[in-house]
Amino acid sequence: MTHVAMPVELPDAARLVLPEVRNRLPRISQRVTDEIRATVPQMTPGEGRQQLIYAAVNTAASYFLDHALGTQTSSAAIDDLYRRIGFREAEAGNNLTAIDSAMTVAVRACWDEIRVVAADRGVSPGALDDLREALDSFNAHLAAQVRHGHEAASRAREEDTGLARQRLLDGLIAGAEVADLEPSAVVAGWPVPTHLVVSAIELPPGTELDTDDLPTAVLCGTIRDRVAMVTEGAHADGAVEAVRAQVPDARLAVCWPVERRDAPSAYRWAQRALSLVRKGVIPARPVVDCAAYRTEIWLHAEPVMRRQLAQELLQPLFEETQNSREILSETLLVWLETRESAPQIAVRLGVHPQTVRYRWRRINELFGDSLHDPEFVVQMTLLLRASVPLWLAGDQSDFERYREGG
Amino acid sequence: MSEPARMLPRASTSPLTLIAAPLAVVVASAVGALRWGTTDTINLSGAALAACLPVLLVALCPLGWWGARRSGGAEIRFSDRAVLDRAARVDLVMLDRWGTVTTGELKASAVDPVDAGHEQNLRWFAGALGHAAGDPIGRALARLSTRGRVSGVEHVEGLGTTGSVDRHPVQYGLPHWVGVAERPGIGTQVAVKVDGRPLGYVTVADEVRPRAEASVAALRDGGLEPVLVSDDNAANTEHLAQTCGIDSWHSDSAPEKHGRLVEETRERGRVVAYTGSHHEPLGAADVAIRVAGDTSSPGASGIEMIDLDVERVVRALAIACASAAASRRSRIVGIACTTALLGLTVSGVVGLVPTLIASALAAGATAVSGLAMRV
Repeated sequence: MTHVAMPVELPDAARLVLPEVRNRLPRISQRVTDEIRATVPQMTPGEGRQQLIYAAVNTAASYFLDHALGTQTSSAAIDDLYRRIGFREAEAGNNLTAIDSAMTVAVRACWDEIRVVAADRGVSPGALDDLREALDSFNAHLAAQVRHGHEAASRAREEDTGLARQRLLDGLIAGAEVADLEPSAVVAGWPVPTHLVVSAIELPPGTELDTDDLPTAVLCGTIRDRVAMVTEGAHADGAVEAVRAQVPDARLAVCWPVERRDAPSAYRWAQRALSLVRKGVIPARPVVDCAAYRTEIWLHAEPVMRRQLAQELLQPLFEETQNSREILSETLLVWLETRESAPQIAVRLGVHPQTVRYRWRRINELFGDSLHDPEFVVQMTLLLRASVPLWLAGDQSDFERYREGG
Repeated sequence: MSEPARMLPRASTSPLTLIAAPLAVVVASAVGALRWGTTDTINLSGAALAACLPVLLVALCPLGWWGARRSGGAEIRFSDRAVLDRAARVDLVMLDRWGTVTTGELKASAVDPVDAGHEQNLRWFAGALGHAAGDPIGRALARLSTRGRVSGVEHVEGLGTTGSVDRHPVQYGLPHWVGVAERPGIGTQVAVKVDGRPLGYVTVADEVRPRAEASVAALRDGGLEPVLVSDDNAANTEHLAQTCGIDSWHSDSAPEKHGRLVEETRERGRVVAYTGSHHEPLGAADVAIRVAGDTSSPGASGIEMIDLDVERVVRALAIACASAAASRRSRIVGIACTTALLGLTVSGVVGLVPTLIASALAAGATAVSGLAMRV
């Protein structure tokens, strides 16, 4: 590529300041580096990035001075350096906003230094204008190299199947429109079906899932540090087996098939199922069938509301011991769900029928006529269905908060 | 058992004394026969010797002992003949509370829930924990219900028991230990808590044997004084004694004090039989009555029974008395028969052969009178 870096010939008056600028180059490069890092947030982190900025600034300034003073130099090295900068930004998925800001800051800082030297030397305004024109032209040249590099990398990314699959997965989980998904779907070779099975995967610490080894019918990748998997319904079982074959200790929460537009919700439900497994609400099985725990997933969608409802409806139980709370609420839940006789409830709970009668008497003592209120019964059933497994798993935060509040 | 300090008078005459007179006649006949050497004299000596058979039988065979052993069967066993003789002279029977007039078990005599609606719950939780506890009160409570799923059982001796029934914490025991109000009344008041709440009281009392009162009356009719010794309090002991018809009792008497009680009673000239399972009083009594196989006083003499039931005590002592009576009867029969036969043979009324036949019949009658007992 050819590009006019700056006017070949500078007036002598303009060249007068350049030797002094060269003498000050290390300090100027450091100052520009510091200013970029202080001004452009994306350039701030990391010692490595500081060295990279310094090298870019110093190399560019050296070339500019050499070229302006008439030294025969090739622009190939500096052009390549700035193209690579653009390329890396594109690879990282970044646009050029930060690079453009950094280059603007760099030109301004350099020009400030040049003006100081020019003032000492008594350089005429006309010569100074020539110098400024040359500097701007050189900056434009470097910016063009950066854009070239960025465009080249972006083109490569667009044609990368792996990236397309990840973008497709991101789009599905984010609820993107089909039209927006289409380009990625074409590159990925993964026609988006009307119904999907979305799964959330929990990997044991220290293990990794190689998504390239999974069947092509499976979209799998990391979304905000969590592993998500999307397949068509027919391939769901095979996908689960493939993941388990690769990481036997992995736990998967597999949602029921949903329409494409409901994929974000399905992923949220699957994630919540894994969270409820960690809390002990859902049994810790290797593969959690979300359809079997719809109620739990639903009722735990509003944890604050559940807790508030618990503190309101279960107030009579709060003065009981933890053990008493658990066994009374467990018995009440079974009765509300089944409405069976004491011997049948006793069989379900694995206790003596007289124990059930005793508990039922205690429940009546505690809740009284509320148990005859249909609204209370419905709310209590839902609340206990959501909360009893939580309490049995040892989470007593509902009652601790009540005490703190009381 | 150590031998009592005061030996009882012997109930039977010495065998040597018993056979001395006929022996002298036989020896005299034998000397005459040797000196004169006549056939008549030899026949006379033989007849005299045969005539002594009944009294020899009485002197040499323990007919009463055999009769007593036969009457006692497998349930009552006398360790030796001396015990049999001493037992026949007992005039005071000391009955330990446990196992004599009672079955040795407690029973729930009343169930009083704090709320009438909790009676079945009270029975269930107390009974289920009682099954797992195993102490006397626990066994009594266990009769109130079936077994349950019990865990974490801890028994505190003399106070009560805690545990978990179907995950409900249950505690039963003395009211002050459980932390509820004391209640007056006959029997032991057992307070019960479930889930830390008082559920009620169960009154536990001795289970009196069905025929205890009749057996005690039989003792008294036989001229024996029954005395009840109990580790329970005065009210409960008095109630038990009155239920059984016993006029004398000692309450709050720890087992280790029973021995001193027996000694004091014997010092007053009474012949004491102690019925129980404690080593000291069994050793101090004239007659120790204990459970067969009881290892508290191994090797000691006494009366061993399959249990300490006062009805069986009555029977054991009756056997002893009947044995003594049978011994006396057999002695009388034996001596009478021998005397009569000797008179007839010496006077020459009957010859040798008839005397032999008559003597055999007399010996049989003597044996029957010694073995046959009316208990």
